[in-house]
Amino acid sequence: MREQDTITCEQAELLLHAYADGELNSQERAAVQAHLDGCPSCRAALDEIEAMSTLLAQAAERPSPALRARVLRAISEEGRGNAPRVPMWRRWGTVAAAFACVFVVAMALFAGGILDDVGFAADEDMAMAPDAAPQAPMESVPSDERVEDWWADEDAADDVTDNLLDVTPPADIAPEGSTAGDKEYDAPSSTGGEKPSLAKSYTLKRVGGDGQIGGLSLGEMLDGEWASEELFLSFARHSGELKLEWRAGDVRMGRFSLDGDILTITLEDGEVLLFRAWVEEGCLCLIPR
Amino acid sequence: MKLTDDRDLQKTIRAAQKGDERAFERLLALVEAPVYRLALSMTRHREDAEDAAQEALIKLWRSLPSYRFECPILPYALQIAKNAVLDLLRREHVHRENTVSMVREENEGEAVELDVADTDVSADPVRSYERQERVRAVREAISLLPDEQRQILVLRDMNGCSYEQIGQILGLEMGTVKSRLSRARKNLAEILKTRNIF
Repeated sequence: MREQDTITCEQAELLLHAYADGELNSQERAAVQAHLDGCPSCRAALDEIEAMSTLLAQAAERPSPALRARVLRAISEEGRGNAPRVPMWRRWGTVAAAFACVFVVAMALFAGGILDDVGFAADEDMAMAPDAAPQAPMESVPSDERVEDWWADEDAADDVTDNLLDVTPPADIAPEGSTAGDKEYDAPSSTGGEKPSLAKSYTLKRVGGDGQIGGLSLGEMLDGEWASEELFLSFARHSGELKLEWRAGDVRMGRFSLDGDILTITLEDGEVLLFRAWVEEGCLCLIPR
Repeated sequence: MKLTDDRDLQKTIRAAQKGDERAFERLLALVEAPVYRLALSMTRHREDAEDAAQEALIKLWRSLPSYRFECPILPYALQIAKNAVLDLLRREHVHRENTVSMVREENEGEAVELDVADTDVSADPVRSYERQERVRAVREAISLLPDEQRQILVLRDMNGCSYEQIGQILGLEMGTVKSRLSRARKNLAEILKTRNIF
């Protein structure tokens, strides 16, 4: 080795961190390596740097899974021109407060005899009593946002079910052949009952077929049978019919439609479900919307 | 789906630039943790870090159409994150002076399983506990460092950024990156040695 390639401990110390990080050029690296070969104390210092890096890598924190979900929801809503999501508790609180105000005003008018004059009966007032289940007018909250929120927020879905809320499905997700307003929408069943709820995520594998799904559209890929450990789904693309069979034996029939990557499933008992659907590595992924 | 090579990553970015949300989701898998860690190193508070990271990642989505592949996507995202955190701190006048470990702040009195980024999963509960304690001590020690030293350690040793990328993100000359990193590691080692961790 040439004399000019040898370095002192002081010089090596300045380069050790970059050496450990792979940030030296080949000449510098060779010089440090040569020095380390003959210097136990610099070798020990390098070991300490590498141990520190390992400790730090182990201590690296990760964000909560909710972060990604929030970001994806925000960009999705941006894309559809929707306002930022208002938390469910605030939305229902606002609606309840609105009805409380209406009730107070109605009672005041009734007490003043004004409502009698226009034929407003007392028993109708009872339907608007603050302790009655809130029946939100559709115009106060964007319909599609509420539907999505029910499926995204299981607690909200429970509250809605408990309050026996019936809402007319919005036009863009109404079952084929129907128009908004002509079918009552039952909130998703998440409180048990005899039939299992579909409102969760699924990863299903293709059943049968030649396994070749590359190059097909999502609709073409869906056509056929998919299964997970608990559920078997049979999509008939030409008729839009869907059959769901659980391993436990329960069977439900329905219809499905696809709009982009939004899969709408309408079961024969009237339950309507929305999923974001995609095929990845041969698996059909469904996430409730 | 893992982004296995540069070509795969480029394809994903181009798709996301055209508004493909699924492609952006794949990109998120790559950048969300480093963005969060940088935000955490600057705010020293998990909730604030998540808020800032959320804002940064949404800004990344919005700015993707103007991304020209001049630099790798990770430092690009981290630069956006740094600015997003600074905006958040200015807006909300939030600056945690408290040097108590973030872990202890949130989990006072509870035994909480830490999310340890470690592939060596030991079946031995004693070793597992010791590793968790070590991680807890390291995180606390990091929080005791000056802001600039903490940020550079996060970028280098947790996010794997090169010196050049660190210089771009933090606006530093190469010499400053090297000296600051060296000082940060030495200080951290001193703190850990006083706690018999190192």
